[in-house]
Amino acid sequence: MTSAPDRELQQWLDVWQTASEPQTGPEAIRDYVARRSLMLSLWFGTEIVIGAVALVLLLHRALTGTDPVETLAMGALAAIAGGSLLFSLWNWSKGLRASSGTTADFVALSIDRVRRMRRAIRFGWGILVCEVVVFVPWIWRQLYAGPQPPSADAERFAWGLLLGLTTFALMLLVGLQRWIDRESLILEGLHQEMGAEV
Amino acid sequence: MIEDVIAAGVAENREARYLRLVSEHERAIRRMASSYERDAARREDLVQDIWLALWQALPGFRGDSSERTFVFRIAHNRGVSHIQHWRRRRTEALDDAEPVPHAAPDPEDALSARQRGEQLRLAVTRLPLGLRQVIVLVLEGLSYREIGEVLGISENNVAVRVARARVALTRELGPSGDRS
Repeated sequence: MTSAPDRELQQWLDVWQTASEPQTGPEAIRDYVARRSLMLSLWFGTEIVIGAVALVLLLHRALTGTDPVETLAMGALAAIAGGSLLFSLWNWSKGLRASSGTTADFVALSIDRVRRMRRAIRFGWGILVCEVVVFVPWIWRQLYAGPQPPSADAERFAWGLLLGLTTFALMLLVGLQRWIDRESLILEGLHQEMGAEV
Repeated sequence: MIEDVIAAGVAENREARYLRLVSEHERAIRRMASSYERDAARREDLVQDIWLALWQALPGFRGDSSERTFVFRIAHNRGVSHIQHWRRRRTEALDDAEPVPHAAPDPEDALSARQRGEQLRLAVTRLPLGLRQVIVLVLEGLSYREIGEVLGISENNVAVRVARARVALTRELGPSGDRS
């Protein structure tokens, strides 16, 4: 404490420290933490196993399939599954890592993480544009370069797939962008609240 | 001191150390949680999050600070995450609408210890976050140096914030002489 704590502060300190808070007890807390840790590990393990199995099956279909459109579709789905798996690993590793750094460092790190995610989203927009630029002429060539006009079903499937995947990626990026914008505002607000008084 | 902590850590396994830390700091952690969250159910969630975070962080503790500083850092970081979580859901962790009951001006009408505790807790939760974190640690008996180590600010900064928090608390609660 300070070298000469005055009476008022000492009174507050006494009142604060004698406040009756119900206690759980260390044994009950230990049991709770063990249960939560086990549940988190099981959840994490299940998610990884499902993602990995889906990724292997999709890759197998993409590599062994003879139909190029199906190969493309399975390849794209495998890429999404792989991306989701990586995101899941990153998300869980972040969630399972408790910060024991100072509170100022903790908030600064969170802000930095949001900045990195913003950069990743900009990269994602680039990937989406590249995907459209590459796949539109490629599908066009696959459908219309041959001597026979394509069947209506093949046309619908190919363009529909591209449109579906592009729309999904677009919505994902817009959603993430909005989430990050909110997260950034909250963190900047907290950062200001924690430091603005001095 | 650091050598002692490391030696103690080697001799004591993770579970035993965890149980000891929980036992030593449970009351303080619960009081600290009450400065971040007024709703009882959400406060219990926050406390449990803190216990889980402490368990996860314990293997990484290398004795570069005191155990108390380590525990309070984890607790405050979880508290900040808790606010962040509820703001994301457009709900404030602390409800500013709850008024702080004023101290009775007449010494004979003194408040009970429980009421005074509740009054102080409410007044603390009304402080801006930067002042609230500092005063809670002061009320838990941490030195300015330890508070600086928990929050990552200088001792001078701690002193300025404590002074401002005290002015704000006195304004909310009234001069302490009125109640003694």
